[in-house]
Amino acid sequence: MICFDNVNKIYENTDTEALSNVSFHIDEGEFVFIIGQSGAGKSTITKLVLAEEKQTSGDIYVGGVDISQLTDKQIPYYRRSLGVVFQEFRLLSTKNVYNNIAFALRVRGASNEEIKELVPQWLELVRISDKANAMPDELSGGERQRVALARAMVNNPAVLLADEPTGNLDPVMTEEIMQILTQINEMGTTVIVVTHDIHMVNSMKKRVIELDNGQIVRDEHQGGYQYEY
Amino acid sequence: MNTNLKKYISFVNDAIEGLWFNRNVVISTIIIVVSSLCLFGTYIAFSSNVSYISNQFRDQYAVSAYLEKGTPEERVVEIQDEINKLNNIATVKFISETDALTECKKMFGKDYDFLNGLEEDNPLRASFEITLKDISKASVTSDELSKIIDVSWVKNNQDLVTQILEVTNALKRGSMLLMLVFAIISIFIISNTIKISVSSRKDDILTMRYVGATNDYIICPFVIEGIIIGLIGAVIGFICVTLGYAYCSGAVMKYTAGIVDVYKTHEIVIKLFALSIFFGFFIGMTGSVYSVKRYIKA
Repeated sequence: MICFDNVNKIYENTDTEALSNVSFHIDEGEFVFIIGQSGAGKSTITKLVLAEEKQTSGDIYVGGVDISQLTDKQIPYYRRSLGVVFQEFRLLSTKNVYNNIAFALRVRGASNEEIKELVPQWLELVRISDKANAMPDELSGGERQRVALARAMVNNPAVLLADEPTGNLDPVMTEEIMQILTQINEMGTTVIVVTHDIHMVNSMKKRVIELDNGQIVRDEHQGGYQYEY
Repeated sequence: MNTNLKKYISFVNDAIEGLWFNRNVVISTIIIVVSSLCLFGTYIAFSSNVSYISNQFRDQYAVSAYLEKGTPEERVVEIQDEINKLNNIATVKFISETDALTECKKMFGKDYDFLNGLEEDNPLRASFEITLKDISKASVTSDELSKIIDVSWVKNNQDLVTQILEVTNALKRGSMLLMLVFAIISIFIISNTIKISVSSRKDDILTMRYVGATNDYIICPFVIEGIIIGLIGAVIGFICVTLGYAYCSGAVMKYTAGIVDVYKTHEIVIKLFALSIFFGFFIGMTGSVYSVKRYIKA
């Protein structure tokens, strides 16, 4: 599903080497944590998968697509094949919960009937149906992240990329998000979680790819956080 | 429903949503657009009237070529032909000695008694009243007219012409310069205000990109927002300028006893409306496109 082959990334403006000969392969339906200290290269992986940055050398394939070959015009269409959630939720501030989720469908030209069918389904799935008309600033952190997850998943992407999804949440909310992520993975979606959350990684016992100074130092199935950061 | 139509309806909905959500910034932007459009409208009204007054003067201005006493009728016809052959001539009208006396009597109204009896020995001269294509060349044309045999003298009020032309040209140049300065300041302020409105939503723009929205999909609602702001500002600005103009033009007519004739409000209102709408549309659209494009990349 996702393949990094000898990927190097040097940021030209700072001349920093963010990734050095990084290679890994993630299969369809896998649940993978990418962990590491700040500056280890985790965010760079997220940016590369989202085609927000281009690698300096090496190859990246997502769902068989060579990302480096994408033109600027193709990138938005490629991004529709991914679901993405962030630590800071990134909900559209001018839209209510329902329309935040519907936005992802409208972007790809879904019909009104499809929107009316899928949005309530996902509101139900992330257990936030009662807040459909609420604005983002009326929601708690956990609720916002659930909306973000629903928006990321409503187009049924093959991959869900979650960048520090529990970074701003308390343990109870974190537990809820973990449950939803597991549920999404059980539905067949490949889930990649970039995180610092020791509890989350240790309790879920999924594959762990650990980065240090831009290099993979550990790739362990059913791994945990070996060190505390 | 047609897919494209559905998409544009959704853009308009998004734009209205954005306007409502950012209503405080939107209101400030509209106030700035209104102020700029009031300046713009004032300039349009002022410059239109300067042109109107100077055109009135041009239309009424005529050079008089007086003939020698006793010039025979056949010679008068020849002189008229010679005048018509000159370059700068628009119209030529012959005023006989009798016509001149009648005009003179009209001018004095009830007090023309002292002119009675002059019909037998009319001291006034026959003349040609000549309008010109270009009044700035009145002096040259007057010289040419005075060279025609049997033309006694030519009256062209050249000093008055020069003064009026200088004043109207200075007013036009000055108001154009002022307008240029106002336009630059307005465009700068308006685009900055729209920029503030857009930059407060740069996170939303980034989110839209991550969700897979194309640049056009992101830009469209912002452009519609900009156009709506521009048009609302244009309509309010237009109403303010029109009300102000109605008051001021009335006052000018009243205090100059109709000597200074300016456009009536209904004569200038369509021009003001069209230009205000165009300016509001243009400034709203360009301001928002310019501001959003800063945050758009792949």
